[in-house]
Amino acid sequence: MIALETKTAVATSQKVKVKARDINVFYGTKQALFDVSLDIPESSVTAFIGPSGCGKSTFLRCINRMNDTIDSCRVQGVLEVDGRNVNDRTIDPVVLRASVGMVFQKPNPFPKTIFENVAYGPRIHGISKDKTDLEQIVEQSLRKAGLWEEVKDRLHQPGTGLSGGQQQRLVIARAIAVNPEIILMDEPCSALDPIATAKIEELIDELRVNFCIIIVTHSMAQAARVSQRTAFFHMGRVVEVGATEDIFTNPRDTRTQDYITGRFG
Amino acid sequence: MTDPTLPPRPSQRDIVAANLKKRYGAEQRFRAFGLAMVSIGIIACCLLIASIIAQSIPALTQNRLHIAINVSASKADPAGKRDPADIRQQGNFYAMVQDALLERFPTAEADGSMDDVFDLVTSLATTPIAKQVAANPDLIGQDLNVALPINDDLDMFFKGAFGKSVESVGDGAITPLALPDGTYQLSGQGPIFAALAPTGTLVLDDEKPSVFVETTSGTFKLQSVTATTATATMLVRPKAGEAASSWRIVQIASPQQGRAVNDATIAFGRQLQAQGAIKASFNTTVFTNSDSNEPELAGLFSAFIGSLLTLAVTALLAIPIGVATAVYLEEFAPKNWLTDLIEVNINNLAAVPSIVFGLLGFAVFLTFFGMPRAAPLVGGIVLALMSLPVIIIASRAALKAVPPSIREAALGVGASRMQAIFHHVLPLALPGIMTGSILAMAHALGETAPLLLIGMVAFIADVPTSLTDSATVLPVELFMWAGRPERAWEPRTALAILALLVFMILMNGLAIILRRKFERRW
Repeated sequence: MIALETKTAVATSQKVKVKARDINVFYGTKQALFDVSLDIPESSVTAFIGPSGCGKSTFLRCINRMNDTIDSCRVQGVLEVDGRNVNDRTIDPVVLRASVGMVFQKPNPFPKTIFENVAYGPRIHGISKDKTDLEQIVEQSLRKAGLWEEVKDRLHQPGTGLSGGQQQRLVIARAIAVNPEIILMDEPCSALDPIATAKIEELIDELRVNFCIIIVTHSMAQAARVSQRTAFFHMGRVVEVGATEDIFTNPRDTRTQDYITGRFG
Repeated sequence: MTDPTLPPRPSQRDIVAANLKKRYGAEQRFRAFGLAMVSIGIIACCLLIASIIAQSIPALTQNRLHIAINVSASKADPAGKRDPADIRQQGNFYAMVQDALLERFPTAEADGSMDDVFDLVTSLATTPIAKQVAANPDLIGQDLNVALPINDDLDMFFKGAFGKSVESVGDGAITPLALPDGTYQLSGQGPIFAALAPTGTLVLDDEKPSVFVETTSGTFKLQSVTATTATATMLVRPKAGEAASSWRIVQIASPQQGRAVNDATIAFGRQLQAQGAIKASFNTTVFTNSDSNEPELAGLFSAFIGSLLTLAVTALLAIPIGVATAVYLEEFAPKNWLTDLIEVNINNLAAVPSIVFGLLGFAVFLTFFGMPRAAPLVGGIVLALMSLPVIIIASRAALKAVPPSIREAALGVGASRMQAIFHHVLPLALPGIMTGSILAMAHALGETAPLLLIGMVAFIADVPTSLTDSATVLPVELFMWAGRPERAWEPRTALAILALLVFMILMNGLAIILRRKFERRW
């Protein structure tokens, strides 16, 4: 109990990076999220768990306004990143996404070379000053993603030729290359084998120092391994949120307990 | 609880096994039908191609008269100014060819068969000579070797369109004896005509297939034959004092009435052929000349250029507009009743009969905007309107087929929608867009009906040099050729069809190559 308290104290003393208040999301007439309110601290990993269709991915996609791409989707409520409401129409999603990177369920490298995959973001944002600068950014990003040693000799071969786990790390490198503050990961390991999964998890743990990472996962074990805080979603509502250890060892809500013990979901 | 009086239920294995034969039978039947249909399709296609090729073979060669003419100053340039325009308009080059022919057959004028000799070549065939001399007036006064395509009916006769002639070498010497009525009596030693008339008298009138007797330099047409003698009319007068020791009987397969070329012209033609002055060679005319009323002078070149110009206009208008429309509708336009209406209309437009587009072109571009008739510009615009729906539909399908993950990946790193589309989605959709566009172009290439309505069916003897010149296109040209009466148009039409097919196969091949080149996997 003492250990738990200290951990919660650490979590709450950290600066809040993402602050959501009463988020409601509708797909047409169907409501997907009901009054979701959440605080996500910086420099930590927050995991969203919950059964399929519970709205955790929908919420994740609210943070970088990826839901804009779905015509029928409407988002209500206040979602602040660094104190600025992203749902404010004055916020440009392009600017927002430059600071909120995203990694998807299936590795989706561009059908271009490894170098071009990583260089694309810095190039369109005009981050790099010249070619050597761009090369440096690509190398650093690949290093941070733990992929450099594996691909340094074949930077100009297609990124789609890598293995699934390598592709996912390439995609993470691509996200890192624009130097975001938040990285959203939507079930990043669901298409990977256990070894590749272990590598990604290790990587997430390393990246936590510099980035605020939010990960949606179906694997409770993964949530327990990589995250400091966990939010349990059910039927479009946040049932419980807290330090990961608390959620898994001492859930307050029976639904959370049922879910983590595998009684449904 | 089971009732012991009921027969035992068959086991599941038996039930499945009993149905198995039926299930596999259905599959076998389906496969057999499929295979049969595909085979019928392939056979029909092969038959079609083979028949077109077989039909077009006569048009691949052309008999030409190789003759030396004297380019006399008085005939080539009556005004004497050596002005190229004068030479082309005033020069009578056909007269030179006539002179050269009369030199070959000096007695034709006296015999009254001059017109039959002149029928060998039409006057239009001398146009290239006029051009040549006009370009180089120094040729005036010199002898010039020319090769002129011969009369199309004689050409077709030589190619066997009126049946194959049968030749048999004559036996011993033959003596023609002039009779008072102007006919000749042919006789030799013994029954030299036994093969034609073993017994009795065979009368050959104009309704019977003609039979010639050819000596070294003369030709007689038989009128009545017995085994030993024959009466005949003279078609080509033999040279004086010629020994008639070598001669042959030529049985023409058709009577004079059944063909457009008369016996005398055939006789002169055969003599020239025997002398090596008429030779068949590859028919370049049909590829390099423009349209003509004389089949032997007609070519596809102007129609080919017309097709190229028209298609260029079509491609330049339809592809950019079509792809841009598809990108807008697929990626940017809001989904509401208006865009739904537009989509339905585009789909409907793709099914509108092409002649309706021709009517539209006539009403709007010719009548309202007053654009020139028969111009590749107007044809291209009309075909572009016709191709647009197809290109839009194909492009939208190609854009739709790009996995959304690529779009999300680009948006996820902060690309704007425009960047995501132009950097990632469009390049991936490009193979599909190009395939659709090129197939639409191939369709436009073969389109005839709308172009008829805007006047592209005109007789075009000049190669169009600009988009507003009068022009015609390949399919319209072959439509016109198919409607003309002379026999010689038949193989030429088949050749035009082949040319069109080759053009289309090349375009479709290009589509495949482009597709392979730009296709990327993700």
